Amino acid sequence: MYSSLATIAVPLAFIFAGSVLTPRFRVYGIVIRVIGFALFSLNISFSDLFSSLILLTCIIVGVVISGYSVKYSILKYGNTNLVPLLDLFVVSMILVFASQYLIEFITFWLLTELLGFFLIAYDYMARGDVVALYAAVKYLLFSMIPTDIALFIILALVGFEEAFTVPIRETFVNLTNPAILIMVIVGFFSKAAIFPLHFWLPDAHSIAPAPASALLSGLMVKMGIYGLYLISFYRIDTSLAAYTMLFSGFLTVVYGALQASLQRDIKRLLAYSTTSNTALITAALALYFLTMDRVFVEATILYTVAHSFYKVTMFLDSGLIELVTHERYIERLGYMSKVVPLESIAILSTILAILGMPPSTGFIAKVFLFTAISKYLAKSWVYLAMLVIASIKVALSIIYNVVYLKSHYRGDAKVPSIEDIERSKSVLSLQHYVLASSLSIYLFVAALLVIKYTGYIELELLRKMFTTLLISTILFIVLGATMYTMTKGLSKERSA
Amino acid sequence: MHSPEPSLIPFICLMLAALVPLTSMVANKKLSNLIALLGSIIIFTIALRLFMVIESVGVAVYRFGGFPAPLGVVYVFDQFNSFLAVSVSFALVLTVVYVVVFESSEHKYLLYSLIYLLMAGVYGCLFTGDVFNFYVSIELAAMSSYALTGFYRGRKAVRAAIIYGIAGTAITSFLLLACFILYGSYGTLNIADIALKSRNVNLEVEFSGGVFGDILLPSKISLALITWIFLFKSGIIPNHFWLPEAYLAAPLPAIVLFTTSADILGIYGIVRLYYLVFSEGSLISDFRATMLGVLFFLGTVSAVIASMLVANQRTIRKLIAYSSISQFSLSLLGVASGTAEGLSGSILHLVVNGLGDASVLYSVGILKYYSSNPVKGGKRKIILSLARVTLIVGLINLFGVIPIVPGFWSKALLVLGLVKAGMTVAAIAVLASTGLCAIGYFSTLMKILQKYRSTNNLNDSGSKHDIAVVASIFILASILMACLGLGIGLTVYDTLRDKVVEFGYGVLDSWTYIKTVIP
Amino acid sequence: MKEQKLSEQYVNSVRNFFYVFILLSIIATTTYGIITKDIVSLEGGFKIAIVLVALNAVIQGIQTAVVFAATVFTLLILFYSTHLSYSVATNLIMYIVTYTSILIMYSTNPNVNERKIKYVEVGALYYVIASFAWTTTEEGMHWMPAVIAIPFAAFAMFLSYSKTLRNKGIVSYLMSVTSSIQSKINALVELYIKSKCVATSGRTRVFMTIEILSNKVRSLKHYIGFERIDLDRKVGALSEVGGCLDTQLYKFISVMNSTTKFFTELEHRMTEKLRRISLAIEKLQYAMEHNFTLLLLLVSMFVLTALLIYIVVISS
Repeated sequence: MYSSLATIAVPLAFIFAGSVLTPRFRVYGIVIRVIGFALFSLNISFSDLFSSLILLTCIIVGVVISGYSVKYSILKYGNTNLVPLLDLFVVSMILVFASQYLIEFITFWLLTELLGFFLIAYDYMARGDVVALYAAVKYLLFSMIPTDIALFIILALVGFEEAFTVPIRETFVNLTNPAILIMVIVGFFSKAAIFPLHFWLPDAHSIAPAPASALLSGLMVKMGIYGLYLISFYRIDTSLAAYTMLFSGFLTVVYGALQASLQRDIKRLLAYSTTSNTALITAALALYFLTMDRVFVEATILYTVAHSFYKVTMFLDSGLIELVTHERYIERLGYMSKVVPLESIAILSTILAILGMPPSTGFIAKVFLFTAISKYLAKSWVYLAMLVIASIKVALSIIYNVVYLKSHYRGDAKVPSIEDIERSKSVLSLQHYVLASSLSIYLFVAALLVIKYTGYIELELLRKMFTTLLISTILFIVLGATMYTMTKGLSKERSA
Repeated sequence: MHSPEPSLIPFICLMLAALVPLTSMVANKKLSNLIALLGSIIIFTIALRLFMVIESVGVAVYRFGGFPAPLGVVYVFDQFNSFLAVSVSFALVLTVVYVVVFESSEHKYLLYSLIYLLMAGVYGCLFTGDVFNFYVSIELAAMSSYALTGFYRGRKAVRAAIIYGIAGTAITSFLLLACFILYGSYGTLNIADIALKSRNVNLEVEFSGGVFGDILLPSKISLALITWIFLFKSGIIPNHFWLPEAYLAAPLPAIVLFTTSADILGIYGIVRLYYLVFSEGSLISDFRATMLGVLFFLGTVSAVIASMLVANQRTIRKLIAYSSISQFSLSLLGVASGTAEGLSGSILHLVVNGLGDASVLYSVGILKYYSSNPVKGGKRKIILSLARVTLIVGLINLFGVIPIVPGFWSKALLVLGLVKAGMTVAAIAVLASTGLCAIGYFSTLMKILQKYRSTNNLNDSGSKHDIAVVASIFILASILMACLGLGIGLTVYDTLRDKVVEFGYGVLDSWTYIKTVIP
Repeated sequence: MKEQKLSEQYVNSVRNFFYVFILLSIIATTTYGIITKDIVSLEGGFKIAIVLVALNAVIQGIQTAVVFAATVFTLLILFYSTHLSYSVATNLIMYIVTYTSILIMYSTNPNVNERKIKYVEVGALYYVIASFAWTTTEEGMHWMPAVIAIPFAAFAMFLSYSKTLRNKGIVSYLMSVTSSIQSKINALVELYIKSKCVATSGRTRVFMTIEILSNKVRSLKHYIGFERIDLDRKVGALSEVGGCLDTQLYKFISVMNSTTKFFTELEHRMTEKLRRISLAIEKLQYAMEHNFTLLLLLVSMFVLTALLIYIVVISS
């Protein structure tokens, strides 16, 4: 326990030092914090696939957001008070995913939820906006309380001594009572925003400041998925759990995606899309419960990672749009690609990545998911239903992503005059962070391959897909090089 | 008992209650402040030492005048009441410091007097081993709390004091009636003696003889009466009607004392009644089981209704009032569970509630003070941020779901005990009431943080408020250290947790108590 | 202005880069899959094909996006459900429907310049599906999907080059059916965008649909150079169906809106109930305080009667 204490204390010290430095020396503060987040990777123990990959995701997201949040906070609120709160939030989530014992898990989980409350209510604390308080109280009532009940039930069933000494995946909990099982599952549903406790999410995530929404949507709802994954290690009635998860998951996928296609406010659109995606991930996990086949867990975790990067990038983009244009409705936007072209490219590549463009994580995730479903298709109607729902989700995600992109690419939109929108350098420099975030979904694959080939983790299908990825990467590079030389040549011609 | 100091605590309080106003009228006001402060520190050290001695000894008895048990009055110290005594004296120190520095009414010396009278009554109740002495101490505590409620002499204060006073007097007269009934049937007033005879009816004890006639009915009647009284004292619904009014009208330090000392007497009394006097092996065990069921039902209903009331509150005093009702009902549930974890959880919960309420009330008081009184810039920032942190920690403590605060452990022990006893409905009620209370806590927290947010535009003035700075830092820092220290200690050291559970076992084990008093 | 034009060019060129990259990777992955007979690569190729469709949807905007989305939906289900059964007949039907839906998607070509690249796209999609069918069907049946793919591909390829082919019966009929389906869906979407979910009376809606449809048909006729009058009647009959369909669209949108309203109302009702309960309890509290002596009397009487009952019960 003490060596792990050192691996936690050292990065924490870095992050704390960085937060202290940030108000005066911004660049040094950001650099130190990035080092701190990177040092957290000492905690990754590859013993369990799910926790190690999602820990890696958290670290990368923390690195990306550390620069963005400083600039955003200064531009929107005039001070850097948001930054330590965000850092602490990411750190406590990292500690949740890295925790070995049940008591650590519960402590950091509750700390994360509490910090989430303060982040959602941040507008109330900073500017007195009462809507933020209502959204935060709704979050408290419908997401924090049911999860706390679920955690307390697990703690009561495990007992105190075991909670301190037995590693979390080896505690043997007897969840055979169906009522208790349903309560625990619904508790985790409320965290992952799945029917019936899903309606707190659109309000909460659209009211919070943009980097906070990114973290909330990208990482915090994944904690619910992690909780459901932990249940699979206990002694439960798997078919009951699986069918509950499938039922609620299917409903939420369709409902969330449909609602997302109809929204006109960019942040609410992203929030509804989060519910839809987490429900799909839950349904995939439910199939793992039914079949106990490892490939579903792999599909779940890869899709989770892909979706995290996607959501973080999109919310960071919505923050940029908000800062540049002070506007959130798609009808009044549409000229973003003319003002911040780099950003629009980043968003386009992220959307394509989540829809499945190689060589990104989204591509791997989708292939894993659909291949796994099709392997079992003939066995029962459940898999056919899952296929139908997943196809609906893909189709509807095309629609709502196109709707979102209308804020960037509407043909007839005119850029308003100089006074209406901000063009200061600092605002426009936020694009670089969004670009970095969108690249992360691609670079993660490289990290994944590196880890796999050093033998730490085992992903079955990745072996088979390696050549595909290699082909597409080579194509990308070759094509890019060709285009670059061509455009260079063309512009030389033009200027000559 | 080797040394008489712990049993002198009530007498010290009485003495101070007389001495402080005397010195303030005859000599200097500052001297009376000093005497009050010194007195509270002395009491705190004695209580702390008592706690440490009892850790090694177990149960100790002090016989007044050397007379053996049923003949004379005895004070009995065991782990349960020494732990509560430490918590009460901690609150006393904080309150006296607060009153010395921040309270500015011209009748301050009377406030000290009332506080010390209240303390005398509370310590008397905690330590005594004699039923009539218990009644006297409770009456003393009650009288002082009536006077404390009406201290500010406005219309609301007087009205609250009247409600509390008349209701309280009427109901504690039932306690007198119960004492008479017990004396008439058991022939003795000593608690241990009654406990002994209720287990074994035909026993003949030295100095008090046997029982008179049929004691079945009188035992039942007295059990019912005393339960009802203690439910009133702790403010369980439906006997809670005096509590919100009193908390609205009383001075801030008095409210802290109420939550930490006066109102816990009800739960303390119920624990002693059900686990010492009439425990499981006694002759009315079936009636006792029924009454425990009634307590269970009342506790659940009270917790849920009170937490629904809490969810609606946005001001501190009413929030603390209804929150205290809810937390005391949760302690009652722990008592009704009958398991050692439940009992230790409810004991810890009383202390935790006291700590939480103290931190909330004092931090808000200090915030209010500094928003209207100027003080030097840098120190002000430190104090204000410390006050905000204490407020947040206090409310999280009351909410009680994160393991770094002791509130988590008390709730966890309660839930564990209730689940062990098979009362899952109560466990769910505990969690549900926590949830509902949380709405009230967090909304109020946000409102107060908003209200005291912009306090930067008062320029600094002289140094005569340095004593206020020192005092506020002392109060806030000590509460914060107590809360977090207890919480983190409970999380990290399992010996501490085991010790807390030992409290529960100690309560359940009544024979040690009896055998120490009457060998 | 110049800056905006430059950035537009920049963005468009990046979009085109993605387009070419995806197209090439589809072809490369599928070829690799055929060579090594690796199903996972072929499924990967199919996934990339879906991305191609999505990119088209992105470029062309919301109107055609609905068509593309519906086609993606059918494609996905059909493609993966070929795992369900291995009989020739069902597989045959599924492949036919797959190819037809791809055709519907690409049946209106607005731009003469883009036509050629569209043919490559359609060809790539057919290539993926055909090679998947090739690799997974049983021995001896390898001819089947190729046989189906070839006429469709040929049809798409030679469409513009031969005027005479266009006037032949079956080809023209197929063309009209596919283009009418697509234009119907486009008209619905346009209606939605224009009228923003306000439900108007039935007659005007159908009127608007017919008008838009006939405009589109007229422009289509111009483009194809096809003057048969039968098309008008067929389209007119189909537009009635279109009118019914757009009521469904409005209904769907209003259902979605009402679900949101339902949930907000539910939560309002719950908070209201909570507030009302606590207000009622506080009022009761107030009454209790004002009549506290009465309450005290009642309470004491209650306690004493309980004791009396016990006396009566015990002594019996």
